[in-house]
Amino acid sequence: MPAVDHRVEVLVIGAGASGAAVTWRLAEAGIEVLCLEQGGWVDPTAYPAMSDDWDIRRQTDFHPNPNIRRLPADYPIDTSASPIDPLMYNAVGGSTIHWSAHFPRLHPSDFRVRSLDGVAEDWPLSYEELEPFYDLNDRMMGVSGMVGDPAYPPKSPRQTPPIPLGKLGETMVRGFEKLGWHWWPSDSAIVTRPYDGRRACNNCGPCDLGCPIGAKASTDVTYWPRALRHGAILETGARVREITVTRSGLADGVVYHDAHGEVHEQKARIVVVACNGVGTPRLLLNSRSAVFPDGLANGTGLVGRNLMFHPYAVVRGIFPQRLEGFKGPIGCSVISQEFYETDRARGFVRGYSFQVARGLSPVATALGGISNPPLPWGARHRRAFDAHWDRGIFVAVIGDDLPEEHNRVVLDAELSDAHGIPAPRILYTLSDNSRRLLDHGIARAGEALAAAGAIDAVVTPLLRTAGWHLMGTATMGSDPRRSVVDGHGRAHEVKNLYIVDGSAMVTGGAVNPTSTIQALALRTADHLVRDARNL
Amino acid sequence: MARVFADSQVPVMRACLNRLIPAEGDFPGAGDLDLVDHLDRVAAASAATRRMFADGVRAIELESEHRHTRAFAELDGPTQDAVLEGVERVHPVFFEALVCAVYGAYYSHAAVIERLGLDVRAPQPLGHALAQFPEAITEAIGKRPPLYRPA
Repeated sequence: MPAVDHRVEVLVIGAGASGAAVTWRLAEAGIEVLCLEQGGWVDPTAYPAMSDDWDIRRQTDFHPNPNIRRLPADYPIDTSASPIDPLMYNAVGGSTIHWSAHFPRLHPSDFRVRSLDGVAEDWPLSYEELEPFYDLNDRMMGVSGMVGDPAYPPKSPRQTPPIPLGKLGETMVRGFEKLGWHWWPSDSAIVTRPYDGRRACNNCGPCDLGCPIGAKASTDVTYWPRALRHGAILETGARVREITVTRSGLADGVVYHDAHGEVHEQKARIVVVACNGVGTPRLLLNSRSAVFPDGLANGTGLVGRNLMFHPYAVVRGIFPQRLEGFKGPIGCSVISQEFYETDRARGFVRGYSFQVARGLSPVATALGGISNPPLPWGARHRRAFDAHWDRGIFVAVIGDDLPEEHNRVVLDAELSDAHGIPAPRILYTLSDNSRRLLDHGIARAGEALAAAGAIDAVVTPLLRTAGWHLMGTATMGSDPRRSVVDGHGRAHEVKNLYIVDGSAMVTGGAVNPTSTIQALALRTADHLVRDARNL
Repeated sequence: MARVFADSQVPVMRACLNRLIPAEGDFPGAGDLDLVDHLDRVAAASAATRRMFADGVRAIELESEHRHTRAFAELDGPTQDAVLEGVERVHPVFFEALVCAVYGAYYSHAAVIERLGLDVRAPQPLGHALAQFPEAITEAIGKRPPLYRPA
């Protein structure tokens, strides 16, 4: 039986980072909202971090790549024409279940790249307009960090103090300090003191395997309990096949498969799509009708185009001393934004951040982590393991990924999911600007690691396992000929259809996007609360 | 579910594992630990992996018998390595899967974890002590002029 048997006010598709935020805000405002999520609830007590085989499960049922994980909630993705694999988790909480919770914001300049740097498009909103929603989202998620970072305009106080640097972070900070480069403790959506009924982080390490104590802000422990208390309805195991439309071109609901595979129709007055930068264009392109023969809201042909990933390069410095890198949140210690803003003398536009991650577990060390091949087998194995185990610092170069129309999500001609719904195919080529940017970052990361005392460095010029950030496939803009949605996430062509995930991002910036995606979702929700009844 | 590796193949597996991660110092060889059951579970994950692992181990046996006329477990170490290198060349997907499965099993085994100087336990619920962040160390960097461009 479907959870609701009548036309709902608002139907949200996807219960991840942005779907949870928009659902909470609407429910809190007293608006009837139903969310359909293809995955289910993940029991925190069943997270790998609680079990002895935790270090193997990163390779199996908690692998970030759905093509490897292959859980029933996952759908396949053809990545044969992409050097980067999209990563995601399909469940209540979405990819916040397995994210590392690194939580920086975009810079003010990221919203004006055309005006400032002559590339891509300006966003139809400014940092200042988004700032109140960044702040609200920070309070909902709970952020550890510290004000005073010269890389950003002044921010409101963080909810809890920063995550400690540990030996690994302190070592890297010495390198940045020696060079006179910027660094700052990362804003992290991980609370270091009890907050909002959640326990403080206990520094266990593998945040990517789920946080059983709720210190990490996955939306199943932040937004969803509140949303449900306010009356939101969440149906899990519900995979949406298509968004349906009226003859006049309004969205009027969805067709979906329930957990038993049965097909249902759900009518709604407003449809909000929150399926991530791959799932959203897939759904829109699968929603073909007489009114929208090329896919919903796709009269311009822009749905699926301008896919951005954030290309990552990695330099792993090898140190002579042990670093206790297995302690502390895996993706969060130090960020450096010395090279974030455009300096054309470097030979490229835009810039990058350094994200300093923690060390590898024993199994991950042997397998080369996410950036290198497995260590050699045989007589050389033990020496190689000893050289790497707990002696590595992983510096990721996160490059600004500018939109290019040929980088896109299309429907695969042959591949489909368990319900026969056509699967996405990724077409992506790294731009020359991105290559120059990453090469610059690789060289600077090597300098920073050497200054910190590294005796060797292993370079990964482009990380394949890096498609954490799925952006740009239904971009927002003021011009309906050059964008899919407006500045509030509303589709130009379908006035009761909204997109609130990373698809709407105009450019990627050079930081992890979740705080921005959620802030945008909250802003869209505010717009809906104000204006929905006038539609 | 039937086992992927027959009882008769256990000696082959153990010998193979001891060449992939040989004993050294305090650390046991991978074949000296009881990892074959784990590998059997990995191999049994799907019909495709069952076939791949079964064919791969059979290839190790055949390579030994045809090229060296002896069972793999009876060969000396360097010859076993040569056999494995040959199988790695011809069956790279199987061989990488085998190596990864062995690394996973070995480095999560209590005997190895102990020798690495770690507590033998899951990360939770104990975690590690969370120190206070020493805010004073940001003093110098915090005095830098703004790095961001006003928009």
